Amino acid sequence: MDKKTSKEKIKERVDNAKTRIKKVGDKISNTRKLAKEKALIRKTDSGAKKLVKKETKQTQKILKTEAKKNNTKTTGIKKRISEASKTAANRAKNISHTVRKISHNITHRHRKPVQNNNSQNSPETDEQKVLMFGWELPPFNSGGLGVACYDLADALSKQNANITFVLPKRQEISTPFMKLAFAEEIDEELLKKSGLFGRFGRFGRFGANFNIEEIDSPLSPYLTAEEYELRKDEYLKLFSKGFFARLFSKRGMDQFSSDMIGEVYRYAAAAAKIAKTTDFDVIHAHDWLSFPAGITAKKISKKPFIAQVHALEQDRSPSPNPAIVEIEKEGLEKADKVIAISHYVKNRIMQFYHIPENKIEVVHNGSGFIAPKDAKLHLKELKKNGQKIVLSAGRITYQKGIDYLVTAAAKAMVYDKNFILVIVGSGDMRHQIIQQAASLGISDRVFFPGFLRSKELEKLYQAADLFVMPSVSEPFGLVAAEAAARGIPIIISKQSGIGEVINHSLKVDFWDVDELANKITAVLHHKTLRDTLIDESAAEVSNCTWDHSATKCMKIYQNLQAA
Amino acid sequence: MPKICFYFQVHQPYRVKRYPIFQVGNDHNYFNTDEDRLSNKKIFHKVANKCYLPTNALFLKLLQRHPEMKISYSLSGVFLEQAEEYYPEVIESFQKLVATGQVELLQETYFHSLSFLYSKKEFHHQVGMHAKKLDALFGYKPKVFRNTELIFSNDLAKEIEEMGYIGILAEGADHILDWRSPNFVYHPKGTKSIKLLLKNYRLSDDIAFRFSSKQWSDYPLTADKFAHWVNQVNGNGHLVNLFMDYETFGEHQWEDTGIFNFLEHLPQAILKHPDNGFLTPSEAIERHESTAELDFPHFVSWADTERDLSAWLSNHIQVDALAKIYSLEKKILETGDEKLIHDWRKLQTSDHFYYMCTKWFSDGDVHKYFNPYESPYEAFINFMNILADVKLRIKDHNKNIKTKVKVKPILLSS
Repeated sequence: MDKKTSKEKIKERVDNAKTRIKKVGDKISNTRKLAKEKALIRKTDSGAKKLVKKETKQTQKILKTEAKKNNTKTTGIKKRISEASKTAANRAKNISHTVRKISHNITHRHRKPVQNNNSQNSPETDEQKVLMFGWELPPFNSGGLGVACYDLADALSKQNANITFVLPKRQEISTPFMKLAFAEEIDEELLKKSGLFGRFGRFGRFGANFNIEEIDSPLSPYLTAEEYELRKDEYLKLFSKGFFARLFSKRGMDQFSSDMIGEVYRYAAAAAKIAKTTDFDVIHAHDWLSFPAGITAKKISKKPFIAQVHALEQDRSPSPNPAIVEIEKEGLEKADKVIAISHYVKNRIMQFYHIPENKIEVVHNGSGFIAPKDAKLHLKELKKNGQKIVLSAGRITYQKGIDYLVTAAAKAMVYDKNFILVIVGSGDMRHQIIQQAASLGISDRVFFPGFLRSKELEKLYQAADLFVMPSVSEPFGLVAAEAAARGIPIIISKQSGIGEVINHSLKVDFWDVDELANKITAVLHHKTLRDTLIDESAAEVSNCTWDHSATKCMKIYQNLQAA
Repeated sequence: MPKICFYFQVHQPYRVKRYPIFQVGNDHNYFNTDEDRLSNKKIFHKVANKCYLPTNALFLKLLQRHPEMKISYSLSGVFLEQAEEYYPEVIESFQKLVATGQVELLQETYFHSLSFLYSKKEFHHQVGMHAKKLDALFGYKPKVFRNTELIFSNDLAKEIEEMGYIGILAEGADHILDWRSPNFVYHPKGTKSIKLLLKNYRLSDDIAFRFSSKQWSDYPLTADKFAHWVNQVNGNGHLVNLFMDYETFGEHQWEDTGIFNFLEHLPQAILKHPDNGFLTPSEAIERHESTAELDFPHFVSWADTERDLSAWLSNHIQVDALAKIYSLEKKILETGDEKLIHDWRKLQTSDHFYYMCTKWFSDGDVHKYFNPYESPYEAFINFMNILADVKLRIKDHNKNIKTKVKVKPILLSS
């Protein structure tokens, strides 16, 4: 009888201990949530670890004392207790690992990690060692290129790609899924021996005078104007003699872009050493900035070189910089394969650079975006009054075609009295657009909130009835895909890549303002049209993953090596 | 023993032109445009030259060569109307075929519409219009009915039986037939005497879809090979119902695929076997008793792999557009405006809603191929803009009547 009760007691205590362990786990997961919310990243990591340690210790202590107190010392119970504490410790370890991972994501991405839906492919594909040249990675990115590179590399690494990602200068970035290399050192002997000076169009012209040592990673090409001013003197000094000085004075280009071109070539020169000392099967370079580096690596290693185009100079500027065009051309011509992020980009590569069609593969970008689930109705008062909201977001520049949207909206407003147009963003055309709205007499129905932080922008998205991307030229158009992911019908220009991925969208030529007005009116007027567009595009949006992009890239790597 | 029963659907819709919102209220001409993709005249000429005229000429030759050969057609009213307007020779060539006495014409709705699903009254009216048209052009009174795109159900069969037809055509859908064969005559559940002919979709599609497919293991299809398949039915069925779009000949299967050559040699290959022969639908119905009752509680059609209504009614925009057009029935008939009513009916043609189908749109399949609009959404937007104009015309008409009423007493007094 006595024995029984004591056994029961022990059982009870073990159960108690278990619940405590569970509580610890809960507490830890709460901490994790807290960490995410407050984004107290580094602190949280160590804090969580401390907490985990503390809690584990406490639990073990309690368990031990409980066990001691008990006079019937069954070995089985001891074992169970030690197992339970082991599990607790393991769990704590796992959790701390996840906390670190999450904090990494918070620091570097501000986006959810790529989902690997397709991981069953992984074991079947051979390992691919990739030397990848990029220009920037988050969080030190100035645009979408860095994010796209990061997401693609992440997805590739899950499909058995062993990536060494080269950046032009050293930065504190943590990428658990790939190695990083920094283009810091230039091996002049190697460069000379390789004969790169003679062959590189631009290097060749300056030959042996190319004084490399003087240029040591001077600045980031996407510096803000303020930062640029601060470091200008230092910078000019570096470029006051030798190769770059001559290059710039001859070309007479504006300082900013020529600085960038200087950096691009320094990067290329440093790529030689990396190519010599790294083990890889294939070279993959992103956009013109890293094409010269890719060419150098190919020259040194004789390995196949893939040039991926996210945007052409012709997409970035209405008046393309001839020096950049030249670099772009050389990169595309010397590449063994060109990857375009859309058929739209592919066609433009063929049109502007006469690259043969069979040399270009299309690999659509993915979208790591997952729409927030708790959609609340914002701008309630406006909506209550039956006002619908047409939204456009992006830089307000010539390329984005906002002026066409404003003209079209003015036409649509004649037929539909119940909508407003909200144009989010800033850019060099903003004032012109505001004036345009005024002269069309629709100032009271067009709003320009300027650049918005993601939280405010999200509110607007959640209130929007229609999203319009009227770009004059848009290599991909992720912003439209993200609007579709939020369940907003989209109208996009035919001069964009995203329409190839989201067929269930409305498409217009950017200049066809009548048709744009026609479609805006139709979407706002027919609820069934909105519903159908949303329902039908949902599957396409969820299919738009980096995992698909990575699968295609892996195939390209394999085919290149087989050839 | 098996007899071939050929039936061809001959139809062309009045496609609506590009009609942006700005045209509402200003432009009541919905069906005429020079734009190649949407010009009904241009499309009719193209199809007539590639299909109707050469195929009719070939069939005329074959019917004369083989007096035992029989075929049947369903010529939609909107097809006949366009033929009269754009290409009268096409009418003449069909008249010659009917005059052989070896050709049966089937009844359908004049506008090849889905009216049975929305308004029995409108359905009856359109069947009546079709009967009148066939009488006027061919002096012909059909005995067998075929609804738009073989859309069929028990209820439709009952309705058609009451209207006095002896038979009706339907798809030999697997989910209805189950283990049974389409090669017998059946009768639909809940009817007294009307008989049912079911499409043998395997053999029909061998000609209509697979004929020129090089991936097909039986490619190339020869008349002898096909006749051999028909012979295999011997002892296992009374007839082989080959139902297909007439455009199979020369338009879906181009002349260079050898389709005309195949067709030319088919009758003699079939007739090589002494037990084989041809029947028209009404002959088949008069000659054979029903083997069993078949239950079609839901609508079945010959469209897509689903064999249901989803080609016309599977998304919000299709449901919306169809509901809106039929909701105008009462008001539009009250206007008594013949041109307006005829326009409204032309807008009921099933093709308009087929163009709005989003099934498999991403994959770019058959719907995309047959769609003259850039997307299902363009088709919808265009259609709804036109409908907005139709509504304005109804309003205008009513206004005019009111003003007329007001004007009358003044006229009387003066």
